[in-house]
Amino acid sequence: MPKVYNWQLQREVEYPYSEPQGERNYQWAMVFNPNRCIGCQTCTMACKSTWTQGEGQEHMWWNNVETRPYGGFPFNWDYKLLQQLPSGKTVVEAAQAGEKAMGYLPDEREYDYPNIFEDVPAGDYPVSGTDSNGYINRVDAVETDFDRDIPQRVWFFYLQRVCNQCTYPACLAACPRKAIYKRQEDGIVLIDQERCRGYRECVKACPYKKPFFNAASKVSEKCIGCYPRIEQGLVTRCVAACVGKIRLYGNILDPEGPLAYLVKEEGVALPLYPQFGTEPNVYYIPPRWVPLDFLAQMYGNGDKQVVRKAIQKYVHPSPKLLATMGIFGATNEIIQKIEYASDYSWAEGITVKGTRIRVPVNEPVEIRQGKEYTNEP
Amino acid sequence: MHRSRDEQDSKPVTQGISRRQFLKQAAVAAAGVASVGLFGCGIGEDKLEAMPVIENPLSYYPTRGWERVYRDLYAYDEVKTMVCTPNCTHNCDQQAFIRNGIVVRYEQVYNISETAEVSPQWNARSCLKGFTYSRRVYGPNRVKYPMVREGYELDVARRKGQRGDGRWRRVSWNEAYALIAAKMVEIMDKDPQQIHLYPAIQAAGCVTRQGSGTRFANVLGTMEYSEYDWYADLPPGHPITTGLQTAEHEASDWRNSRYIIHVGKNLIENKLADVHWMIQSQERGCKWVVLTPDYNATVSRAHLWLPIRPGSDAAFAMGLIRVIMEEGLYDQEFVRRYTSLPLLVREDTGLYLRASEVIAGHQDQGRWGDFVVWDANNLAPVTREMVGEKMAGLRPVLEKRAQVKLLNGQEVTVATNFLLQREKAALFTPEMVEKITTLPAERVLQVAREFAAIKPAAIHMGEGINHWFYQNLVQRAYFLVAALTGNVGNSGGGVSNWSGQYKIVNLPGMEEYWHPDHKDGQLTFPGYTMAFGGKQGLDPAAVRGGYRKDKGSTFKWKKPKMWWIANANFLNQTKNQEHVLNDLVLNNEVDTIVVNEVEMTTTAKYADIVLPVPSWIELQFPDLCVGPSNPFVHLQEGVIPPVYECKQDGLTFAETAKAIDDLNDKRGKPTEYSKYFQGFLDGKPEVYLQQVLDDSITTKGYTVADLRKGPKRLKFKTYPRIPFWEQVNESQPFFTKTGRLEFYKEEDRFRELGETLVTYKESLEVTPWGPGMEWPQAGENRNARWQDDGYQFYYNTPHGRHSVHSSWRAADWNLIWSNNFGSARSPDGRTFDMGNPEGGKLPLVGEPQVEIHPLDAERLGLKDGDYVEVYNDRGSFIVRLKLSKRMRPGQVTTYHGWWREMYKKGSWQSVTPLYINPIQEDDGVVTKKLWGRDLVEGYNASIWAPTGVNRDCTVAIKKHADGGWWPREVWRDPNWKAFLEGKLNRGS
Repeated sequence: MPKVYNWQLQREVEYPYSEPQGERNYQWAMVFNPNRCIGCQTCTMACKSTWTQGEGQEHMWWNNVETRPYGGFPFNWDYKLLQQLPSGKTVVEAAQAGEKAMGYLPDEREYDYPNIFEDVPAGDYPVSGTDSNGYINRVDAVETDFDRDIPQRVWFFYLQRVCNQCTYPACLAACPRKAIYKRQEDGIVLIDQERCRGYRECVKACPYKKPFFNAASKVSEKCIGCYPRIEQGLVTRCVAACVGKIRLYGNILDPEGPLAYLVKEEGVALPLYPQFGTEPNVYYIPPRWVPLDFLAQMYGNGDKQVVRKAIQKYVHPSPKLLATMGIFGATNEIIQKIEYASDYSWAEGITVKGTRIRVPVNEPVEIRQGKEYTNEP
Repeated sequence: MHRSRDEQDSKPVTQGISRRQFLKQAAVAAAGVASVGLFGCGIGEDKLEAMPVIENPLSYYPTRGWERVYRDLYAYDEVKTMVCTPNCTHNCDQQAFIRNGIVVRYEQVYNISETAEVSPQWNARSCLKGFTYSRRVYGPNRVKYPMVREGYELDVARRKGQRGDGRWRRVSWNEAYALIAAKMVEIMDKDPQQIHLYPAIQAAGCVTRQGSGTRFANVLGTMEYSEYDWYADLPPGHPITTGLQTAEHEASDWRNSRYIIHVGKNLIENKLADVHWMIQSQERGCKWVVLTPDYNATVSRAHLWLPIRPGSDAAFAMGLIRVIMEEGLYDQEFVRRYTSLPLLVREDTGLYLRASEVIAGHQDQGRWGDFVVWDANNLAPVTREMVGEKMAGLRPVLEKRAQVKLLNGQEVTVATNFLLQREKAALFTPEMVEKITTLPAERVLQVAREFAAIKPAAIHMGEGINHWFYQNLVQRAYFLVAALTGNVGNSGGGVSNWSGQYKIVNLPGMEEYWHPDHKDGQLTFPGYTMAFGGKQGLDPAAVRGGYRKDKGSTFKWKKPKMWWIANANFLNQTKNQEHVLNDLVLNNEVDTIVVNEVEMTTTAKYADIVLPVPSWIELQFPDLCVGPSNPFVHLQEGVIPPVYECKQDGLTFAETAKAIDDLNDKRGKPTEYSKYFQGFLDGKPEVYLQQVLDDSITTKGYTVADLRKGPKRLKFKTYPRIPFWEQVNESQPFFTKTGRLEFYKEEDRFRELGETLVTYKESLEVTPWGPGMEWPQAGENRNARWQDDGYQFYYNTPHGRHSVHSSWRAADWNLIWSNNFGSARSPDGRTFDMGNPEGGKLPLVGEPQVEIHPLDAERLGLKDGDYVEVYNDRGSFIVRLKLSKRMRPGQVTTYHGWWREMYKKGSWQSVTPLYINPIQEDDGVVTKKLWGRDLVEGYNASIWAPTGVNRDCTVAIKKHADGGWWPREVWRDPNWKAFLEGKLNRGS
């Protein structure tokens, strides 16, 4: 089997196809900040109302937000895979005879309950004493302090999920008809809706479970990275809709772009389950209150230090990072470059359409002159 | 049969079919149920065809023409701007994408920064509800034409059938108006105040929608229900302390805080459009302390979570007050300048000492007399205007008790408000606070010291607190914490209350619109009707927590003969719903019920006459809306013609006024009501909008045409809007008797009921100890309801993110996501009754749930997904059970707003109480009128009035039936331990 270089794992990994010819200079990518996520599912509805309103698509949520650790759509998707996947191997490397990638096909019921265990935490309610009647008479206060290595003892966080438009997609690797391909111009991974015959090998192989089978049309489909919008210079529906300002879209291969800055220069955002080996292109700023052990498994390829460093950057942001975070959600056009004030008191996004959007780090208080004006009319 | 994907998807949703057909299909799709099993069909046969050579799909793919499929699906004809304006307080601009006349999807608007001249940080407002709005507009649940209940007759004696039986007769608009006009004239001949209007929520549709109902009520002289108080959004502790209804720091000021205490408020879940400002405070180093009984999204971001015993929030504040006072951590200058704490109080009467009582020759100037402080060694008079810089060099002593001789010769003991409050707080040692709240004693010390040391520090509270019987004490106590530390009137500080779309105050020009020619009706608290308006009525003393006197004389009310409810799901959302339905509705005690609605809500189902009104995307006339968390005034406009026979609220009132005039002409008793609605009858109500803009200091200079380009920023004194900025920075009096933040209340009922000072009292229901009592007395008493009747679950009904109150509860996508059991397949096969003439049932693709802690479930023999009965002496309901360790053991939570028809029995409101705190019926409390600077004593609708009380509620739970829910209770699964500890996979 050919080998390709996975920068997230910093090693060569096995993959059925060799590196694409010619240098790719554009890869669709996103940074998500779960620290800011409010679990509102506006992204989910933005996606649903655009792409999956049809017959056979009722169970499809190309974008979803799930409460972790217990929630997940489809049910327990990562827990199920991690139980099978041996440490040290990517899904392709761990493939069994007759498959291109280790995986499983969820059963029908696992697509029920997309918001299962919403807001259900790990840990337990901090009761520390009860009286003779059984009434609680003392609880513990729950303190969280990243700097002192104190994660929250009761915790959940929201995990935002879309197709990762992987650099080495498992779905593409697994398709027996070669009906899945990666677009040269932006790295979006698509299932050819004319060519697909619904073998569901992609559904089985994708470790993130983002291809879905449509029982009405009998073909599989997946998140298309909103290419009809990307082609028009607009960010995806889910990014544009994010009212919590947690998402930033961009080309991660542009060294001048904000994505490269966040991911490669600051190292504040990490890929989801990089150990799957597909080089996913959505990066997350790990939630600062969650135990590092769990986060290391999810974002750190098992390394706590990587996660610790990323959170450290977020909790004590550099002036440049703080200014950059102001740009999240400020426009629905694709930002290709950010300029900054010399003291980082503002950041100005420059979009592919040439629009400039300047966001100050601090909002001054304005006082309106004139006795007739009041705050209490 | 094999149908290729290509055939399906190259045809966009609406292409080539008529609008009618689309609506029909949308109705089917809205059922949300997958019509084909996900895996029921086999794989399509693989045709033998030549495959193009694809060597490496990472590199190159030969046949990409098919990609047009998704470009076609994305295509649209035009984009128009509309405003999503439910009762969530936000008012969010959205782009509506229109294809073949159908609004197929929405996106936020990104030009707020330009039109309103604010930072782009404000851009991208609006949440999931706005994005699923078309599921409601085109859903099967619409009110499509005017309807009258089968068997309804003007004469009650001749009526047949029963309200809510789901049998309707389609009528013309004229027939509907004739019935309404006839009934109104019949009632008005005797007493127009027996017609009760409920056009809610005005601030979300000020002029041509709900707000037009208020104009109608005033022109006809009917009664009108207030809403902000009934919904328990009004925080009475705010007017008690400041004299102002309430005011909150605008969202763009939130991240200026360095320390925030969140008290019983889940802002992350409830302020979706603007909460990013709050979260960004953390990126700037702000520390969050969250007091809430349950773990939730806001708690997840807390640096310190204090899992407090439900209802004991004021006790924790009392603990903070004690520490701040005892340790001298307060801001002496602020306390002297802006609070009542230096004022002297007579201990014999409990009244403030008046200057004219003790200072020879002093003539009291103020309407409520002048007050007295102890300045060095002298008694010095203080008028209401002597605030801040205007204290003329006085440096009052804060802690003083002395005998003084009054001018009439009487010798009395006086003490400063500060000293009295310090003595009151002395009881609340950290140990006592621990006993009451269950929170560790040392945290009282920690939070008090931190809060006093860091400025600016803010307190955010909201509806979770406002629904308690003794809510006013909670609000007063936290206001005192803020005032002691000088955190009022400053950027990044303050006490903000988050509940209620009440900000009509932002448009003072509404006063003229609502009261043309000074016409006035009578505002009243809806709770009086719900408690006492029926045949039986509730026991007034029980409603008032054992207090036996009637409401103060300034509080007006009459029994209703007619309800006209516009855009409010009044009956679904009423407290003590079983009583209300049985005592007022099902027995025709309220003679006639008219409902203006977009959808067949629970309330519409119980109506006699239902009038269809347009959704926001179908508005016939523009309207204005304003809200509390943001500084914008929006113009709302429709983007498509009405889909059904809708008429906007203003037109329904205008045409009814006309029908009444016509009827009165015929009777020879001519009236001129319709002249006040001529703008609507002429189809040009924009004149009213422009008049409101011109008459409001906050919008003077803006035109309707300006607002068509996007929202404008309201012209306040400061941006961001900082409440009490003028009081603190320009030394203007607060709106109280004393002109100061008033922490001592001398009014009759405060003295009678022992609440002159800020203190803590046990809940009426949620306590094993003496209900309604102060400590230590409370600890020596028991609550029979708790101990003997066994109602020991605290019943919590918070606001969730998937709906706005009862709105969106029947929208399929929201149904799927709003609970643990939501699934497009509706695997349990449950349905709910739509109740419109087409009849039919909709699949319940999600269903109401209650959450409890697994320990409680074990004790009661319950499993995740079971059906349980939640009950108390007021009623019961059957609902699905979700287990979660985020719940405090002994707490049961159900997100509110579920429709009654979605339950197997009862509803979430079947068990809630209808209490009225008699303090809030005091005739002497001074508050500012809604608009302007005038102060009034006693009832002041939605400002000084009783409020709803639905947190003070306990229930019991028992099993109803197995749920048969297959997902495992994963937290019981030992294999999950390795996953949670990160040991399942160590990377590759």
